Amino acid sequence: MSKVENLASIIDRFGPHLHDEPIGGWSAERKIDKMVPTHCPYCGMQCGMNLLVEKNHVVGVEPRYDFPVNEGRLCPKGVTAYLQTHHPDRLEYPLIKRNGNFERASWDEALDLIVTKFKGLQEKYGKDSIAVYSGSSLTTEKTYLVGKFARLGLQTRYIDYNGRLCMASAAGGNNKAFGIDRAANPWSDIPHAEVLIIAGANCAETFPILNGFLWKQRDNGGVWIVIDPRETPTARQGDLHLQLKPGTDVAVANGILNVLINENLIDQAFIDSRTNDWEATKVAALNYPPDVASEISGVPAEKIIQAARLYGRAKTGMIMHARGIEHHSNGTENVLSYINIALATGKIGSEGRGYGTITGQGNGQGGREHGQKADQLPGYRSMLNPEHRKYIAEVWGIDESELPQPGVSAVELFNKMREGEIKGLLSICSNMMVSLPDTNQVRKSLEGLEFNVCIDFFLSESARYADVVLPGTTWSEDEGTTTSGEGRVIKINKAIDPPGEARQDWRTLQEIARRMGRGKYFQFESPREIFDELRVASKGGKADYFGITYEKIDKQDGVFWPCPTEESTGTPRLFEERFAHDDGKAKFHAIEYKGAAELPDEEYPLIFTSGRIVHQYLSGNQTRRIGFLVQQCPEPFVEIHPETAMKYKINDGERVKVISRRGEGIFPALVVKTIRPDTIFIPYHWGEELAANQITNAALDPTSKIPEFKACAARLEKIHTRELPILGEVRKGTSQNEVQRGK
Amino acid sequence: MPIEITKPATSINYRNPTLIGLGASMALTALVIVGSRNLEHFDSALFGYLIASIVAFGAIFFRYALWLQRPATRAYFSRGLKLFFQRKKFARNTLDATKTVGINMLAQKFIFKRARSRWLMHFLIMWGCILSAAITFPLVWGWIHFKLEGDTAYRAYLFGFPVQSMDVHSVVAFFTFKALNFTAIMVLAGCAIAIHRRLKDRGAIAVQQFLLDFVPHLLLIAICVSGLMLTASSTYFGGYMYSFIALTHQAIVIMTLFFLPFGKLFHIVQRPASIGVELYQQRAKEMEQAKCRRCGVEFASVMWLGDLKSVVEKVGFDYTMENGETLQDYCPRCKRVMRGLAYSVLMDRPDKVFHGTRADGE
Amino acid sequence: MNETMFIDPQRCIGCRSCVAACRECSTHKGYSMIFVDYIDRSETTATMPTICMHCEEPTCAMVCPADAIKQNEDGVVMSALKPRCLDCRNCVNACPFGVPKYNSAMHLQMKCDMCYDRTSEGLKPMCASVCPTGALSFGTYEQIVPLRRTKPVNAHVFGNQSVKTKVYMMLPTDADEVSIDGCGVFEGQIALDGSPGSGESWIDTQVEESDKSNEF
Repeated sequence: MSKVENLASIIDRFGPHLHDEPIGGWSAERKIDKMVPTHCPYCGMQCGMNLLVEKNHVVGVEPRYDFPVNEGRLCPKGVTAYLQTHHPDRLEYPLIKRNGNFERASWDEALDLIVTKFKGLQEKYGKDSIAVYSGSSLTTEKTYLVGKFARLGLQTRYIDYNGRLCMASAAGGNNKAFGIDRAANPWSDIPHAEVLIIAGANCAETFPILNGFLWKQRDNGGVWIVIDPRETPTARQGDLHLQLKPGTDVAVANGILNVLINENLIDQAFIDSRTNDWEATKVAALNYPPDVASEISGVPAEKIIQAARLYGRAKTGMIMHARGIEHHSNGTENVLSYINIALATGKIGSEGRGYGTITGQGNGQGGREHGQKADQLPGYRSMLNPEHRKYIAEVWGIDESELPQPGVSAVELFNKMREGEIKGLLSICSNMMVSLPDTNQVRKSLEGLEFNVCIDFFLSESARYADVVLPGTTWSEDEGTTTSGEGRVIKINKAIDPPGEARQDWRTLQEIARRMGRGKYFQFESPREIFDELRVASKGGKADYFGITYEKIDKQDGVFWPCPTEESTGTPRLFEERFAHDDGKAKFHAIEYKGAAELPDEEYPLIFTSGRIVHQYLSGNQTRRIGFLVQQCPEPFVEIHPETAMKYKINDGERVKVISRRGEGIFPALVVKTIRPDTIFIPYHWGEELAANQITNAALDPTSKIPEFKACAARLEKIHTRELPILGEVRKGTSQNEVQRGK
Repeated sequence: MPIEITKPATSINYRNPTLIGLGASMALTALVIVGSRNLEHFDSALFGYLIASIVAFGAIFFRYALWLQRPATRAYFSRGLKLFFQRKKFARNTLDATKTVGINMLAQKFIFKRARSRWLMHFLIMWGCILSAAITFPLVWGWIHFKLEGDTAYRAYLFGFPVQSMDVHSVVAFFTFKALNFTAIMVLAGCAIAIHRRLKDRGAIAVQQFLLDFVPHLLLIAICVSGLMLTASSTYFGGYMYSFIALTHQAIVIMTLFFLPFGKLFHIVQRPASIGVELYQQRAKEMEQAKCRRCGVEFASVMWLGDLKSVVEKVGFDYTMENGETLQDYCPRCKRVMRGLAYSVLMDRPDKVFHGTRADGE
Repeated sequence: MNETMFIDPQRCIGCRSCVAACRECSTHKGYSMIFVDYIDRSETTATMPTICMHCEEPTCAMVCPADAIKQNEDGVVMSALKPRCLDCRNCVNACPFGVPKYNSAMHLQMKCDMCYDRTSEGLKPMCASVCPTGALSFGTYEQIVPLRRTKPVNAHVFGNQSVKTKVYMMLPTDADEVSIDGCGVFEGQIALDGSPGSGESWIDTQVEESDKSNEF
């Protein structure tokens, strides 16, 4: 019942509109009441920043030079982040959809409707007919609460979150190899590494502030080996660029391992004393001499050899990777094949030797630790482990039998909606219509729901499908902790009160639970109280937060977990003495190259890959409303190599149709030599007819259930239009000033 | 204090400006003598003002002439005049110039665009000062005087010619004789806004200097306050300390007059030049446009670019390139891009630091 | 003030964080005075950040008919004095670096004044504070030299004219100047009849009327 009608009027009311100045306009005459130290709401770098507050309004940003991670540095998203707090698109009161229109409602009215509907559905179809879908941009307190809310408040097994689209492969690989899922080293180790292997990570655009560490390493004389199908700014600046075909990472990694073995650049002592299962891996790697690896991946064999020698001969080195190798139907194996390299050379567990995934979402790390994952309980405990279940049931004050069984992963969750097994949805902090693969199928899932509730502070593309929308808060209106990409728990501080009737998510969830008759489990008065329960719940788990307090975070500029005791100052570097498997050893995994689920063929001859640009953040629900960011890149484009463009007779700037077996879209062509001729690329931050995910393939990795965003087959079609790209149009005779004024 | 930017190549000629300044002072003196009918209507109490105004008048002309020696100013000045007196376009030029006077000089739309409070501030100060000057200077120079007619009526004389008579108790008379009080209040209000802004605006605080930015306001405030005290003294306190206040007032006014050719206040005489500049730019837009030699974009008129290039040369630069073009033949964006390209070529060197960067790899 | 800016374009990732942050400076609140231009997007992702170089003998100031552009005692070339600027735009087209910005409606030129509101209080300029990679950094000559493997250079050559600036470029250790002559850039990316060439991508070309790229 939740189709989107009257789209034009919805967009007119709720945006995205462009907004580009602080409340009250740009003025140098402000009287700043206070400067609130906090962190950026966006990526996993969690840069420190100060918010300038005037009369309960956030009116500006000031660099926070004292925070050791970024020392004042911010990317354009961070600089303009404060502009979202008083954005005219903000949702300030609950909305109920009637006859296709969102109408203002009181909190009581909206909550009563939700509870009546949820109760009705659960009586009719069973407890599991309601699903909760969450996100990792929430504070850790909220992610903990969401997990508890689903299992105790709604008593459903179906909960999952958008980290599934993000860090799941890395998590899967890390758990398999190391027995724990966290970046092994703090960022501050990077400058001490002689060689960096950066695989599938366009750090320059997706993690700009990490470049501070990367360049420090460079200034120390370090070398970067960048593995990426596109010549991204990171690849351009790097020393050696392995421009592989999307989806062939295993071949490259095994090829490197092969050279390391053959040239005896491995650390046998380390392998013998600290790892298991080396022999099988060695045998597998020997099947990938450089020429074989080169043939599969399209990377010249010499470059593979060169990379192996650079990394193997160096005393120190680090491997870092991101979504580029993780967003595959064999994402976990990709991750494991790179971990094999680190383990075989013994480059892990000390200063300058290490390994890490570059976690994308703000709280991507914290959000995947405390139980909003389908099969997981707080403290990185497993839902299948009877002891873990018992401990958490005890903390929550329930009988273990009351705790639901594991649910299913994100994409499967939406499949179940389409299949009719799930009838109701509560989504929070997530914009599925942009972020999930195969948009057309996601739309069907949402349209088929009987009742759909969304909590957000802007009306996202996905929220348009909801029956009830509850207004949440931005990061500046609440406090709590997040865990950054390096495993550092940091504190977000509250700067102002929420606008209008907007409420912090933890209040809203507790209120729904209370009205569902489950109030006794949800008696929290503040994020601090939630955090205190989380500390206990995580105690003894892999991700042990027990010794972390808000005060300790302030004192130490963050605390690296595990931090099991009050005295502990945290653990910045893992694996110095032992790995987290029971025997203290790491595991090798023999990996064979399988390739992407869908390979190019005659009908769809190109490899399609998607990714991000520096001016937008994830699904863009926040950043596509900020004037400055949108002006830099108003719409997605498709990167095409000149050779390919020539073949299809496509001009630079011309709009072309990109088609896959699942969908199609029209995008302006950006003809550049920085991409492989057999590959095309579209940034994915937009929704509906601009969504790159209309084209992507929802094939899942068997371990991590991550969808294959980064490789599928596609073709191009010339459509003979003269329409220019928006940016081309804007730049044709319109001044920056006119653009700024929104003309 | 800001450092004056002049290159040794451009020498300054002081002779002509001095002559022009002296000439201007003498002309004003002559006008005063004629306008006051051989000083017959001259109020000797205003003698100090007279001398100061004559000296200041000459000084402004001196400064203006000096200013016109800047190559850029002279280029705009002479080209502006030439464009204005083009026979075919004279009527349109006059019309456009009149419009510019209305929009820029009188309404001051451009200040409104900078900030509303600034516009209000400037509007109050400017009109306060202009009205005050329009009242006081003709009196000082003896161009206007009043004579009692009957018991309650005054007749005003302009250059010795009778103009209008008015009743002392009429509204017109009230405003005429009290006008200076109102203009003083206008100026005070404007200065209050200005100083308030200067104390609060972080941008202004960073760059302002006491002598340049505060002293003019303080002088204006002092003039207004002492002027109002004169009114107060004569109206409410039976002339208490009147002559002392009058002397103070006179001293401050004279100081301000001498301050005119320098610093902030010089814009009063300089600003009208924007009429010429605007006309120049309007006409330039209609002419043939120069295309950037690199990207082909039309970015300035050929005439303007020609004038500019000769000015650049006159002030002592030589931006001629190997290919015979001048740097100014390229649009601003291409200048930036060209530097980027030049830089990337620099990186194509055997220095280890740059190994592997794109410029090196290919 | 011994501190100055050091520009290292090879580090620039084109994120335009500096451009966004520039608007937070009080002397030109809401308007950015920095440019980040693609050098040639069809070939490379390389970008060129440009701020005012603060010439020792500023061409902009000398071609100003209103004598509105002043240098302060630290060698910082300031924005045009507001009461004087006549909006003639001589500076915009005379500047060898393509830096000054103008706004006709306001009759005003503005440019980077090295964040005078911040630097005069001992704070780093916004752009250099936020720059993720250090492509723009602020400090003294003595501070930067041991940190980098490149060399600060403040000499620029444009054809016959050499220009010294307060702001430094970070160059390879064997380079002593950035020279815009003879590096091949003038060899016609466009046909000589002035028709726009196809060399530039839509993402880097700005406009038809180009000094609009310098309008704020």
